[in-house]
Amino acid sequence: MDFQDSERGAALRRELRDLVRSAMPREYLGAFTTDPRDLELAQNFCKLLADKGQLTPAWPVEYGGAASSPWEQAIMREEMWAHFEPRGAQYMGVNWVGPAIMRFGTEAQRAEHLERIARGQVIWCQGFSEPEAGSDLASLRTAAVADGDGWRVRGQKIWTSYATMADWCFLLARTSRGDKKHHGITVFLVPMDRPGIRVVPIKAMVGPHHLNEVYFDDVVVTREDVLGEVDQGWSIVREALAFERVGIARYARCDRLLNLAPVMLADRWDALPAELKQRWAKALVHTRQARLLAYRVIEKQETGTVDPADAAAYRIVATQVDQEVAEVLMDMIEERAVGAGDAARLFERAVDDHWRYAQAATVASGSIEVQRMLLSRTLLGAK
Amino acid sequence: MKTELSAEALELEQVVEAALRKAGGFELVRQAEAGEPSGTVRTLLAEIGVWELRPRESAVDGEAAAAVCRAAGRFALPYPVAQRLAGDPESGVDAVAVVPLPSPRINLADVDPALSWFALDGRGRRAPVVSTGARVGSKLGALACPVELGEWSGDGGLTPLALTLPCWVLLGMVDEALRMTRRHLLDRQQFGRPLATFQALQFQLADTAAQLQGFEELAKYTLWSVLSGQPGAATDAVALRMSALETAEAVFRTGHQMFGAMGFCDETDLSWLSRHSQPIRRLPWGRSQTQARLLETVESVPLASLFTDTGEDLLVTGT
Repeated sequence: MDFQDSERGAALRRELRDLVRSAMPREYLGAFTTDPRDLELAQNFCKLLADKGQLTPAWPVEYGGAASSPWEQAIMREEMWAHFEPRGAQYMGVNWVGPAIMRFGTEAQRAEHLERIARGQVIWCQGFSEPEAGSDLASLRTAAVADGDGWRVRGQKIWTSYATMADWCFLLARTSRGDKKHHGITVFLVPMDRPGIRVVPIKAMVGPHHLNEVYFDDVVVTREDVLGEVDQGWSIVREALAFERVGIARYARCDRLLNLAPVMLADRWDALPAELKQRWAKALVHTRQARLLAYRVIEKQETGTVDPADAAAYRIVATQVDQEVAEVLMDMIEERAVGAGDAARLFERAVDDHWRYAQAATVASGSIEVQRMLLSRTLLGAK
Repeated sequence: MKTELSAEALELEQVVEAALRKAGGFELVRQAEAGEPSGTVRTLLAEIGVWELRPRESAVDGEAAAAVCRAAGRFALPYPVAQRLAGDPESGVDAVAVVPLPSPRINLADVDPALSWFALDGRGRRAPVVSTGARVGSKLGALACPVELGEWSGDGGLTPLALTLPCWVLLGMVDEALRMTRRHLLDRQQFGRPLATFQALQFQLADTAAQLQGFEELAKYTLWSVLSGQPGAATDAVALRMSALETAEAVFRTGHQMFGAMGFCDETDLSWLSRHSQPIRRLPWGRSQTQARLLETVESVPLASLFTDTGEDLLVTGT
């Protein structure tokens, strides 16, 4: 066994840290703020990464990628998430919209989208969840009603992250009703400036831009907008979401903030209750476990033996660790143990941000209940 | 990065497991509790070559030793396999155990009187065991014995492995307990359908299994850290113990709850695993003491992670 980064991996990690240090200001805590300069910083950072082919490390070189190994992709995820995701809203396009277009798109769609995603020039949002279709996504009702050669889309999406800043939407709509609810769903690639699309931001504790409603009012879509086959969208969604087994490397930000706590609290650290410090030490161990579970999935990915249950086990642990760490750190700063300097203030803001975002960890990208179902199905599927 | 045990280690684990099953499996612990001598186990493991492993000299042997410990745990084997494999026979240390102080006890101390035992205090000292008292004989510590110690000296770096290998025994125990629980959920019918079809039970099983996977990965990481002499190895070993205790509590709680009254009966193997996991979970330290020691060690040698080095962190340096 060997649990160290390869030489290439270690070099990549150093390179990414240097890039973050040189390109991002200390105050950057994510692109989703009320200050438009944060989004601008993120977009510039994406261009820097794109120049190195590292915005889309997993992609084949022919589409502007670096064909990097699953381990190098993991390093990228860790370094980016730990530093408050300097890629901003690129996550979705890069991680699964692009690969889905590679796999199912027409030549024209590949030509139109892939280079722009790889260059960091475009932001995508996903038109998935609806008021009546959350975890049970296949129950979606947004309808694409046949009209001449194409369709008119009517309906409402909700919880749509980045919709306020997105250029394109990966939209799921129902084009027919089959025997099962999974049948008759079609994927459309729709520009967000098409007439009839209206975005309504939702004010929320997680902060601006994360949650929005998107209304489709007789939006015209054509055959050219369809990804893959009409009525066959569900299989695309399933495969597209499987592109990201591990998802966000939440444990990496936990790791960074937990390690920063004693430094930021400095001489106030000793005055913390022993019980709180013990929770902190335990959280460090649990964070390590979450990281190792991610590595378990990645190793299996490399050998082609990964099972949905492995990713589910990782997510069950990692999302709860995110919340555990958030609680520990909030207790630490709420004890007012943190100092008054700029760094201490920033740390307090970082913890505040982490806590708010961690609340969604067990809800977003497949709730923890869905992960439990996936895991138990495998455990109990056969004697 | 390579996170799997070597093929040789996994192969040896299968050989040991098959041999123990053939020799009676859980019958061995039943016999030990009844006071029968443990010669069979010692000889059987000797024949397989287990006592020739030298984890302190070779990482390949170290991985094999851990795999053997896991196999032993699956049957609550009444023999100090982990303590022997953590020893250093070349320097006269046949078996080694970290002990609680001031009242040192060792689980399985008198099963093999010929062994030269050493006790560790977990703070860098060791002392020879000069005499072994009578078995505690309680239901939960049937094979634990108080020991009398000689003079303390430096531990010669024995402690990390001596803490790590018993966690691998516990890993075997909890892995087997969860396997039994899963099987029980599929077999047992209530309200006209298998327990496995009740979502509340599915979810509890999933949570427990996920926790167990996390412990298993940590066990492998810690073994690598200890065998390759990483700077944080001593801290890592305490961290593993903390995880082992948390996981054992969760797995056996889930197991007992799902087995119902049947799980307390000695005719089910779960009862034996659960009972014999107790001395490993309480000795040398229970959860509170382990947590206190974890904090103490982490504050002196940080837990190695992606961001242990905060010296160049943007939030610290500002640029």
